[in-house]
Amino acid sequence: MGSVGTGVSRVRGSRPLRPWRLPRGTLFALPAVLVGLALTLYPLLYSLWVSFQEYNMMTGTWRLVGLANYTEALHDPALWRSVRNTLQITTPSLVLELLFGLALALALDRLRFRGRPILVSLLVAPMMIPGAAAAMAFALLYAEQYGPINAWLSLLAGRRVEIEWLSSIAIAPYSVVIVEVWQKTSFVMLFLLAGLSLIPEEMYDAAKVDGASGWQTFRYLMLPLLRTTLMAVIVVRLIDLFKMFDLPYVLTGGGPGVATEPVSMYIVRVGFQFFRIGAGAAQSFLLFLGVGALALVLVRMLSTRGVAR
Amino acid sequence: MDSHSAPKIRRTRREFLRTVGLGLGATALAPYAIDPSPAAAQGTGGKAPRFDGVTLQVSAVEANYMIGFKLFEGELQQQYGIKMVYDTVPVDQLYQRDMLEFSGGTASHDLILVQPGWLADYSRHLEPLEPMARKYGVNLGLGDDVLPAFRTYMSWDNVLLAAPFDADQLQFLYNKVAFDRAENRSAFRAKYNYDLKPPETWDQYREMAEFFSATDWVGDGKKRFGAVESWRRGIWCYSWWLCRFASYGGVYFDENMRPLVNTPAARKALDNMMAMRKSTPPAIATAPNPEMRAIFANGDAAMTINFSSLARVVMTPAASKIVGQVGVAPVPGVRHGSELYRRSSFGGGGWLLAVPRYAKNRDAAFLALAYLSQPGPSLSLALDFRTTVDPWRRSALQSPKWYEIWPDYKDYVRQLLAVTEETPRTGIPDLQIPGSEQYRSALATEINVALVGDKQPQQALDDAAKAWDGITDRFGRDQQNAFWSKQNDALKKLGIVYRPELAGS
Repeated sequence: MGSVGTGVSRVRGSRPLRPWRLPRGTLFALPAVLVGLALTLYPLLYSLWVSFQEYNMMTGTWRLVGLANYTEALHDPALWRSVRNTLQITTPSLVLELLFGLALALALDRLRFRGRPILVSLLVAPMMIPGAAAAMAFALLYAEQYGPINAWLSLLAGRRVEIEWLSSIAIAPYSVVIVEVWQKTSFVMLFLLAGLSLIPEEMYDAAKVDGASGWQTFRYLMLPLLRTTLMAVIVVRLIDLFKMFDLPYVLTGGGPGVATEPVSMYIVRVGFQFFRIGAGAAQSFLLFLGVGALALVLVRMLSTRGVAR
Repeated sequence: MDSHSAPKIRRTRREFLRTVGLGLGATALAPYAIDPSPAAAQGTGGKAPRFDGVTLQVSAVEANYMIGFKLFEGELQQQYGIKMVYDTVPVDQLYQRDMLEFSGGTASHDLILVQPGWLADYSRHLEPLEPMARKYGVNLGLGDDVLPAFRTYMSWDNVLLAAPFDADQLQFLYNKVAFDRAENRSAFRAKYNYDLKPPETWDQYREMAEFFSATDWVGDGKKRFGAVESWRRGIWCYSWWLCRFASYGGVYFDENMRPLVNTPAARKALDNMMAMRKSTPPAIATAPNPEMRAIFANGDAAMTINFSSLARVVMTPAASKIVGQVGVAPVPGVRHGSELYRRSSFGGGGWLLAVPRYAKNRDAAFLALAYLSQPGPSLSLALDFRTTVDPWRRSALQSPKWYEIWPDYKDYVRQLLAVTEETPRTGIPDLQIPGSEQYRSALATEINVALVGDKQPQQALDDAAKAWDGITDRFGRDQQNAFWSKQNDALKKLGIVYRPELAGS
């Protein structure tokens, strides 16, 4: 293994491997790898250690509590409520982002006109805005008493319209979804646009020769070839959505009540408002395991389909 | 190396002698303690210590408080050579930011603002003030001049750790157009069979809110809200609930540390808020307080209960459309026979100035703290409406300057000063035991969840009580009980005891 780096090492290939005889490339990469591992592994291992402890903020001391934080988390109705909130925001967001993203990607892939690059730039602009800034802008737009959205709707309706964008438990989660979709659809679009650009033009020509309709071309040509890209974008978006924090934090503060408090926000509340750092760390690990398992399932589905194809 | 040692020792000796000299001098001069204002320093010929080149990092919390600090930048620089830079952080993130830093034995600020309820948790991270005051011969003047409720806030375990900066209290404000208009008075009398005047009880307040929200009380064809408060999750819904809860005879725990936040007093308080929802803005339980204050200042609500700073904001033409149309009164209460029992709350108790133990410039920060809490600067802070700082000294409430800023509204000033002085005598101080923020946060979440209709009120209160028990157990029941007993004794001295009969039980 260590013998492929240089001519010298190839000659000494059969000798036992010593660190000072590592291939030059590996040696050069080693510091970066070690720093990378330290930066990734150390916080993970430290928070794992913390998750088995209880912190006493009055004395500043730690006490080993074993798996108590984990069992408590699994029996915490507020945590499960936040999981439900996360799913309530994540599911429609993901579906809408995929639908709109796919529609935009298809349109931009097929339509060729002079202003196309400008249009693409404009479409990806929301993605470049930080989540907190977008949330602040929408908080002003959604303001029920003096906000512009209700004012425009009132103007259109010819009477006072007062939609409780952020204060109704039925509406507020979807107000978050709207901002999420507005901001992240372009990310999905860019991914899929890249996927579409990889489909050779000859395949479209062949489909045309075979007399395939537009729908048939999409259904039987584009969609199967986009599957890998689609699965990848779903995994990335799903992980991102499950970690959602800044948008609801700024837009709704998790309210009304706790109706828009996603799991990551709840964990922060437990960890830093209740100052139960161990309990928060345990919940983070459960979230990490949950999202990891979901991603693994999706990636396996992706690779199985890839092999089948 | 050796060549450097000798001068080092000489310097240390010189410093030591200077410190001893200063200490002895300060002890000798203690009875004539120095007032740290520039005028006083000049007057006594006392030499103020210099901190030229020192820049204090100030945790100003909000932009309005930053304005307050900036008012004294020039004087602090002239007096001590101190400069100040600020940062602001949302109130609901402040506790976690500070505690995270303190847990690591660091502080990025030299001078911080702390809520009284947090003092127990912050205590081991704060610099005791009395040794500093002795060191510099400074009289902090935190005795009888401080209004009663705020006097209980400054110390933890008998150690003075902080000085008041802003003394919040909830007050009742009303739009006089709504209450004085003859049509409103007669219609109200006809419907409810009593006179329309500032409500004495929570039931009257609810009825008036219902009446105004259903009435064109200005007479211009536009519908307005009956009342506006701020019930956002956090300190807001908690404080507005607390003044009802305390009026219905509630206190935080019983003698055995059993939570009383799910008793009939708690339920009556929550029910009153829920019954008022139809007369208040839809966003009352979610929107930030400035938005709610603007509704009243724009003349779109007949009544409000809000922080006392609003009473000054609504008299400022730049921020209010109802200048001169406002009346102020204590928050409503509960009538029991001939007794009217009112207990306002202090909205978290306002803000205290403190110096973290880990601050880089503790001495300079202490002198800035001492300066800002003197009668003169604290009055100036309260008189400037932009700071939203409320007075906390008795002498500040007796100042004729209040009449100078509103010469045309002397009655209003009299009302405002009377209410501002009465509330700290009758209001319920915030819970001040270890973990107060956790207790408050758990309860506030449940109150807000009930207010938005996501949980049944009694269920929410029962869940809050359960959460409170959990917090007590985590901190240690015996320890918490001991601390609560101390606060309970202090409350009893203010006449605050659990009175179940006020909630009809």
